[in-house]
This record gives sequence, structure tokens and C-alpha cells, in this order.
Amino acid sequence: MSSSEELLRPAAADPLALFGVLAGEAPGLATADDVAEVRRAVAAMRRGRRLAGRRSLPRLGSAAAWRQAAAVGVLAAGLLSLAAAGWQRAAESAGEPAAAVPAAVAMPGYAAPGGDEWARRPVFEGLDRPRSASVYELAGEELDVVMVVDETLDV
Amino acid sequence: MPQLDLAYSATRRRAELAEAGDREVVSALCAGDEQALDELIERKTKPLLQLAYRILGDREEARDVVQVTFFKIWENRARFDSRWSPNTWIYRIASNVAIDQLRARQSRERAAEPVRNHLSQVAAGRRVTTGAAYDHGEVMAVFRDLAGELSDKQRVIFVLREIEGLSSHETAEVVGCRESTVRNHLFNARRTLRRELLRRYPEYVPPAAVAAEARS
Repeated sequence: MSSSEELLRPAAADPLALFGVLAGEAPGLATADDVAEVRRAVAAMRRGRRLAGRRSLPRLGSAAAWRQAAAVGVLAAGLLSLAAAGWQRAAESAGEPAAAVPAAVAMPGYAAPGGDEWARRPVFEGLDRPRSASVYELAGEELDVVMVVDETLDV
Repeated sequence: MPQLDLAYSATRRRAELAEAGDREVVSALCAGDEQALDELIERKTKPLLQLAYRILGDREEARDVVQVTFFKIWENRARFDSRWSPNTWIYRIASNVAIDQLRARQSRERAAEPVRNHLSQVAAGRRVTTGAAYDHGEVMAVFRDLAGELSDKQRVIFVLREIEGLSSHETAEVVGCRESTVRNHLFNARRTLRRELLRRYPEYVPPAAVAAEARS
């Protein structure tokens, strides 16, 4: 018996057997790329959680809000890494010992972890090898901030 | 060569987890093993995407739900009770996240009229009685439209029982209610879906079923 015949037999008695089609796999729904994408997204959310702390994070279940929080967390880490690298380069070029990474610089609305937590943050993965990256420059009185954002940053 | 040792150890751990059962993987995850989370993502992304898509009828939303589900699994790993079935726990979290997503978009779902008209035209040209197979996406669009008439719980229970094929007992554990409640919700969901299918999409119902409905 073919699958469509199997489907049609109960459909003769029960109109809802139509939805038996949905028990099959939706074509093209889950690919190998999806697994990699889920891994990346979960890692970003966990980074966001570590950076932001529990109180300032959005309600669980709001996927878009989570992605946004994760992106902000990653941006904060990236900005700090870039700023620290800039200060270090400036100090080295002046022939002085490298300046220490600032102890706490928080993005608006996000509480900074205590101690030298920020200084221990690893460099934002991938920023040193951007593919199709956009470069943004924010000029301040005492500090210029340059953001390099590639397509993996999903806001 | 500490780095090489570390890499070898990580590779061996990955291989061990790949061979392990769901319960062992979840136990490792509860102990904070990040590779166990990776292994769980590898195993469960596909079934969870299917589940979320069946509940929501939207691929992008399903992807979002799966991502948040795995994050919540990690965040709530300390709450896992070893007496629970790992699949029940994972399905429960996924179902709850999907319900949150449904609630967030309820207002948009009311604007489904153009979709309904389009589907009616598509179905009108189909030879229903000659056994032409229905397209998955087409049936999903019909289901998504009709499921707008169900409560969130009815919708999830219908998907778990009738589409995912879970037993009443399993469904009750996932949803967190009694089996009798599952049966009640399922009965009401089926009645609503049957009524709305006949009313809105009669072209999808074989004549024999229409006649049977008229007699009953």
C-alpha cells in the first residue's frame, strides 16, 4: 500500500487524518547548518548571560530579546578588547610598559562584574579575521572607539 | 605536550558522549559538561525543530524556539530530576518556549484571511477524491490557520498526541497535567478542528467524511 493510499483510507472516515501528513518530516527543515547555527546561538546567549548578569537580562522565552542581549554582550566584549588593544599599542609605541586593561567599563544598562573580571575576558572570537566586516568609528573626547562587525553578529 | 593531551582528551570525551545514551548525556550536562550540551544539540536539534515547527507552523520561529530551548536546558540543568525521562524534560521546556512564542504572536495570527483564501483556491484545483497527495507545507498552512481557534494547551496536546505520536501518559508528563486533562483537551481540540476544517476548507475533506459528519 502506498503512503498516499494509507493516508486516504482513514481520511474517508476522519477529516482530521489530513493532518497525518504533518507526522512526516517537513522538507528542508533541519539541516547540518541548523545544528551549527543552534550551537553558535546558544554560545552567544551564554556569553550574554555571563557578561550581563541575571538581573538585567530579558525574560526567558523571548527569543528575539535573547539574541539582542547576546549581541550586546558580545559587542561589549569586542569593544573592550579593541580599546585595550589600542591602549596597549599606544603605550608600546611610546616605549613605555603596556598599560593595564581598564578594570570595569560597562555598556549602558549592564552591570559590570566585580574585580578584574573584564580584564580576563578573552578577545572576541573572529574579530581578528573579519570576512565581510563593517567598521564603525565613534570619536570621543578622550577615546576613539572602533567597532568591527561582521555578518556573524546577528542583532 | 599539554595542549595535545587536552585535544586528545576532548576528542575522546566527544566519542564517549556520542556512544552514550540520552540519560548519560543529560547527567553529564547536569554536572556542567559543556561537551554534553554540544552532544545534546547534535542529537535533539532535528526532533525539536520538527516539534516547534508543528506547534508554530513557522520555520524561523521554530529555529528561535530551539535555540532558546537549549539555552534554557543549560541554564536549568540543576533542576533536572534524575527520575524524569530526559526526552520528557526536553520536550517540556521546548513546549513551554513554543507556547511563549505563540502568545507573543497571537495578534498576528488573527490576520490569516489572505492565506486562507489562497489555500482555498489551490485546493479547488486539486482532485481530492482521486488520491492526490497533499503537500506538507500546504497542510501545515491549513493547520496553522485552524489551530488559531485552539487554546495554547489544546494546540500543544493535539500536536504531541496526534502528530508526534506520544501516549496520553507521556503527553501528560510533558504538559504537566493529568491524563484525564489531556483527553479532555484532545477531545475539544479535535472537535474544534473538525468543525473549522469543514467550515473553512471543505475542499480538503473527502466527500465520505463530509457525509459521515452530516449524519453525526
